[in-house]
Amino acid sequence: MKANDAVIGVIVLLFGSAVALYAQTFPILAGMPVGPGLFPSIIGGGMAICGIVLIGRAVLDHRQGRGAPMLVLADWAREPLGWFRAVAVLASLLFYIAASQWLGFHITAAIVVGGMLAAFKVNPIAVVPAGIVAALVIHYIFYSLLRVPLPWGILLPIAW
Amino acid sequence: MDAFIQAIGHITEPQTLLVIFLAAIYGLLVGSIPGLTATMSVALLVPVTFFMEPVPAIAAIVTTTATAIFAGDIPGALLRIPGTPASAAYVDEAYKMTRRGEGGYALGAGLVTSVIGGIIGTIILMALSPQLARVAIQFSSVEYFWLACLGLTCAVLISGPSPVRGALSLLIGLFIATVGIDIAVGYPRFTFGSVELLDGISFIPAMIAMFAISEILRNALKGDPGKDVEPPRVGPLFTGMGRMLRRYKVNILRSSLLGSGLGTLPGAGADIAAWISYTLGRRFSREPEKYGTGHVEGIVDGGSANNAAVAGAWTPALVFGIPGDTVTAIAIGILFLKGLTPGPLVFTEQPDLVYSVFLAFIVANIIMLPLGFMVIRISGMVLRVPMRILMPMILIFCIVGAYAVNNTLFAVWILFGLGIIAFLMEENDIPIAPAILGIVLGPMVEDRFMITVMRGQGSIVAFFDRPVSGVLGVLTVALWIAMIVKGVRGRRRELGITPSA
Repeated sequence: MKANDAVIGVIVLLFGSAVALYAQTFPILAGMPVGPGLFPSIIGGGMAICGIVLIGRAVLDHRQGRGAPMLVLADWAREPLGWFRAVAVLASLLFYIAASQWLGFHITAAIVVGGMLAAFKVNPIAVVPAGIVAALVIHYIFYSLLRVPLPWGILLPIAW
Repeated sequence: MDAFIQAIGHITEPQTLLVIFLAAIYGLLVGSIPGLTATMSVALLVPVTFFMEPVPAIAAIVTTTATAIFAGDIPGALLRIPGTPASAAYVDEAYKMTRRGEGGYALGAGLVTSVIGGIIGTIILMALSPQLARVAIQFSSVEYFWLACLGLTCAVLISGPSPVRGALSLLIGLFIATVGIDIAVGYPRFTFGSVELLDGISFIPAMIAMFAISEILRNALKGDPGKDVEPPRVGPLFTGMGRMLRRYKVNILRSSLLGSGLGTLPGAGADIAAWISYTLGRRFSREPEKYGTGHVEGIVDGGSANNAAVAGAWTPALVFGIPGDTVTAIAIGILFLKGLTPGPLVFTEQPDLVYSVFLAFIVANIIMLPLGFMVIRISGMVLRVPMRILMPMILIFCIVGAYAVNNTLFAVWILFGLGIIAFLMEENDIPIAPAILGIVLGPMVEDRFMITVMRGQGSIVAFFDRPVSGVLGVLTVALWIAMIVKGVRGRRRELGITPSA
């Protein structure tokens, strides 16, 4: 998914300008010409300059007759299964955020691992036990050994 | 001398030796798991060290760092996921060697040069720390600002063929670092009313997102689950090692010296040392064209430099209480818990403690050789597990690892957002490493910058009016101008050669 320099340049120019402009609304230190907005303004300005340079390059390339297309999709991008798996990865993260507190770590992790394995086309018979074993092993390492307070959720009555 | 003998006594106590042994295994295993950084492995050690005496506690931290920094090479070589940012500089060299079946050689070279670099770095630390104290005690924030700028500029320069893309990446990182409560007056920036964003975007979830989640996404999109990739053979570990050591002895010495020097500078840690040493190695190499194709020389440069830097980072930590990197920052926190305040006074009041740190480094590096060998052998089996099974496991590990830093689900949001951004950046040839450095160094750079601006009442003169800051400042600005001139000239030449359509 390779975008043309001009596309990246425009995005970066807009974002950098927005950062710099928004930073102007930050307060100024008493008795000082500057404030917490100074550093973000410099960063935003720098981004805007990078954006202009990228746009300038793309325009020059275009004039030279060797401009790149707006968006080049790699071979894999036409593969629906790949997109499905990538969405599964992102959905797993969102599912963990939404569910881990009330379902508890074990059930959430087992569903995440099992679901991901299924999305990656692992033998369906192996998916459920693999998810449960992975959840138990990771829980043992992080909760029992490293003392990370992973949530028990609805499993709290049988917590060990 | 009494203090030195006392320190030997501390270190050779059976309990301390056992702690070092366990910490070495722990550091090697955690460092070799992608997404778990040296910083995080040390952070997780804090509750354990709380129950220890000062010397074993420090020995545990020192050992874990040294071994984890080396072990970061292992997932770098096998999965192209650097276990720690310090391995990022030469991850492509190691990964390409593994693809050629020379993974064992790559990791063996990394291990041996890490040990040598670590020991040289410790010797430099022992020699340098008292001397440096006298010079750097006069440094003010403006000198620190310019040093950080110099380091970041180097990171942009070496990030790839396009400095604009490197600079853009750095700016993205610096921007991420500004999110949250501003240090000067406590004003919330770019938080949009979110309570979680007030604390800013923590570095460890950000690094897991940018190095691991983006890799999982890439694997999901491009991988073919139908047929698994043939696991690359690791190959023999120490074959050709003697020849390699003789051939690159200058590289090892140069990189170790450079690494310990760079590690000494606040802000420039093992990762910057590895990057700069790798770049210099390529510049001075007799065969620079081989760099980037899986060349062991690059691993030698970076591997010895980053472990030397681990020792070097303790110089400012011990002498001034200023952490040279995130790991020593945690270590200073533990020393505070023990009622010890690092600073010049520790050298005169508790010299045995200082010597114990030195000795812990030596012992840790020596036992790393056999233990590292064993861990590489085990890790070879990691790749026997197909990617379609490994990726879901790494994903859940990333989630829990990110969560463990602050025990907050917001870390998983960081994985989500920055994972996508990092994936898109790499797809468009924008390097990740400068962004990571920007996130880490951003708060420090801004703090020093603002202090200098306030001291000068907004005048630019304050950045140059001290002798050392003047030299550093002029050097940095000259480097920036040289970059711009080179960019413009290169562009003209490129356009001159190309016939116009």
